[in-house]
Amino acid sequence: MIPAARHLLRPTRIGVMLALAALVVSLSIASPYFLTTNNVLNIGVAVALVGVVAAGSTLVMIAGGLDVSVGSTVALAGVSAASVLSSTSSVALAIAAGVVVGGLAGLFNGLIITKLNINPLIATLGTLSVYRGLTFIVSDGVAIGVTEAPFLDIGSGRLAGIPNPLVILLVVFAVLAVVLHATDIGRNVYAIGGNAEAARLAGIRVDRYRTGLYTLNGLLAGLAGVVLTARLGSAQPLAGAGLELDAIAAVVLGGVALAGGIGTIGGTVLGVLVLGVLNNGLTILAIDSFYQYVARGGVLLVAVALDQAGQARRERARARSTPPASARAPSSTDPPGDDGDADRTRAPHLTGG
Amino acid sequence: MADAGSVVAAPAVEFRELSKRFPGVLALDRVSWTLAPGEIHALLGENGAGKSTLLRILAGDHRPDGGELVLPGTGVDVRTPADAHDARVRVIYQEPNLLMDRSVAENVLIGALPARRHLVDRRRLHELAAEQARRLGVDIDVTTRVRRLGPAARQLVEIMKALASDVRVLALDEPTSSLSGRETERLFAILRTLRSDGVGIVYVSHRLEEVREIADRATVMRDGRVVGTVSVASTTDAELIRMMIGRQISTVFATPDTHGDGRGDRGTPRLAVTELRTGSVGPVSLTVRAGEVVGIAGLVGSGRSKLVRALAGAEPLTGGEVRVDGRPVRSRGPSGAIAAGIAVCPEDRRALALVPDRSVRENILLGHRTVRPRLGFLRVRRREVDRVERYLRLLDIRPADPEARVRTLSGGNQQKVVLARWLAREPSVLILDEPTRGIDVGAKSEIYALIRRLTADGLAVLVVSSELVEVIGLADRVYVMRGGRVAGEVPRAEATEESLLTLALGTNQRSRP
Repeated sequence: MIPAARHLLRPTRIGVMLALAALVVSLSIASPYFLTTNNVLNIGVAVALVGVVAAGSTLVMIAGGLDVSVGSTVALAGVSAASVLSSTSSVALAIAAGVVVGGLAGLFNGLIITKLNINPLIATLGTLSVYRGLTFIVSDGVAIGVTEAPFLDIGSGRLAGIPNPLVILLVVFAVLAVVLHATDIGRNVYAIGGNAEAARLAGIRVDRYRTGLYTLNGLLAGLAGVVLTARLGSAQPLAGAGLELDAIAAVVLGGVALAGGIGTIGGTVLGVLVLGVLNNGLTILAIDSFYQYVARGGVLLVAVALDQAGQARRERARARSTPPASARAPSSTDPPGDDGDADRTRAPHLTGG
Repeated sequence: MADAGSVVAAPAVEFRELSKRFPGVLALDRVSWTLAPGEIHALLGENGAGKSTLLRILAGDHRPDGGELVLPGTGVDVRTPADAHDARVRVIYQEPNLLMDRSVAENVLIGALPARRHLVDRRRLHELAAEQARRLGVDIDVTTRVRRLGPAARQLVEIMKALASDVRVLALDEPTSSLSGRETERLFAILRTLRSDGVGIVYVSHRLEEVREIADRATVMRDGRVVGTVSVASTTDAELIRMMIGRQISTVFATPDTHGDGRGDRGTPRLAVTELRTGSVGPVSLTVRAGEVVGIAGLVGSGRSKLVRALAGAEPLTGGEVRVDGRPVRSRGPSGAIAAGIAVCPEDRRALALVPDRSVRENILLGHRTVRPRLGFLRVRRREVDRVERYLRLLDIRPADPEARVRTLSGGNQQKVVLARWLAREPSVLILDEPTRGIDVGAKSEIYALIRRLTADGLAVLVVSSELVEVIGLADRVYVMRGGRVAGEVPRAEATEESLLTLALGTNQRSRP
């Protein structure tokens, strides 16, 4: 197989793929509307927000970090962009303001995590509240309307027939996939998540990388905030609430280990799709939104459980197909069994590799 | 053994045709042997022979895929760690498994904390633990949090914990790897007492001299099978080694006499350390010249490892200077040391050098800026593979697959991956901390030979080791450390175990914690 393809698909997410296939098949049977071009594009637009945020979170989480402040960052970036737009009428400045404010929020996360040595969950739980508060302060607690057509176009326009938010999402996924799987930066991100101390002693400036990744995540949340504001036609101070949990769910569905070091962008694309298709399907079928929450959580748990089972089955199959150690070569090809940790160290990973 | 009713009892443990399969490996292949009560039974074998897997089955941590583990007289079928515990079987692993933020006493008596009206009786707890420490002759404050103890003390806590209740079978995996000579003697005294009390002891070690000192019988394993069980007294080292590796080796060390003669510009100092201080260590001054192998010996706690960490840039210097090829190392942190040309292979490879879930290729190239040529900022995979394959061949890393996950390699091959990473950066100074710890005999001699080859190209090598034989066999000069300082410098000709040990212990043999 082409190396790049092998990278994008590994680790194979059998359970998640099956869940997605089952969803698509049953929904197309249940509703003739589901597989129309219009609806597929709708799904794309609907997942753009969580997708952009999940893409950044994928890198943060592969490096062993976590950022739960992104929902608030999206809102803060949105009201920043909208207020700059209303006071200057410059669309370019407004976009820049949203993205830069997001980046600064991410940078601040990175600095308190690396410099003050605060656990990422706790640190971003703190800034989750701080950024939401700042959003209310900037907006005075009310939505800021946007009327400039070029700005609204970011959310509702199309490029070659594809809605702009989806175009932005695809570009973000493509760029991050290349960065993660084909550059030194990507290799170092995996190394930091896999063993931060080893990476540091190998000369990688681990803290700089971490700070950079949180900043990147903030920039992407800022971009998401701008897109959301453009789509809604106003910046809502409560926008993006709970978004961080959807993003983390998508990333975990995609196979990123919570402990770091494992995962791919391709997996996250899959995770985002599952959540998007499910939401869309439940809406088409006019299922009460109260039940949608239960269904979403249920799919997450079932898909990850199926993956775990598949993983264990494959490991057993591989064990059976390998010849006994004694039938194999000389002493320096010794099997790793002596440390007995081939399986022990696997255990803590949520989703395995 | 038909002598019914006499002291010749049933075996303490009988391993019957045990098999265990891991992904890709048959770790145990119908292993059978018997541990008698009141004997110390050494379990020998190279890395990957299956010793640790066997211990894990004994501890109830792994279930065998085939065969039976029989504990006569207990009526216990070991399926879980709790079963093994009930059968009074204790296994002490190489790496301590302790609650880091609890006190020594709590760790020792965990599971049987003395209680008064359902609350832990702290005074009684400390009394009991202190009594246990006294009984075993361990000098330790039982109220200390485990995190604040060094590796040797943690190992002792692990032993205290195992012996806190009545034991029938005790298994120890390389228990002396972090102990000093005195502590090892203390451990051996404890083991002998247990033996006379009728406890069956399984002793896993790489060190033949220890086995010779303590063990009655030895079972040798290779590639998951039992090669044989022998009486230690009537078997020579050479025979044991032959059983372990399945071939004959004359000596582990490459002939020491071939080095030291007519080597290029020997004499130019490549590493010069002056008055270095870090924490409790220092002042330390030393030099390593081009083409030279310099050893650092010293007991546990003498400051060897801290010195290495300081040279690696992992600990800040509080004074002094490090120069590489005449240029002072100015920038701080590991990346500064690396940029200056210092490469360090740390003692604890898994924790400090490797990313086990990533490929051999990525681990070798870890931290490298670029492999040229490249496409803009994109890596060219083909070039990386070429580069890595060169080192796979040079170091004979097996399997020779750049995409194999490092986790699946044996200890010796993992060490070679770390070496390959540093060699690929063409350093001026290579520092090896315990280069052969946990590595089997065959891979050991390969690594020794490699160190010699490297100095031929003018590399300066600093070898830090707690095994005196290793230091003597490898080094042109040896610095001996004691209490954080250099206690003496010994040229090759005068380096013997006796001379090094005398310096390491000092004239007034006062004990250091």
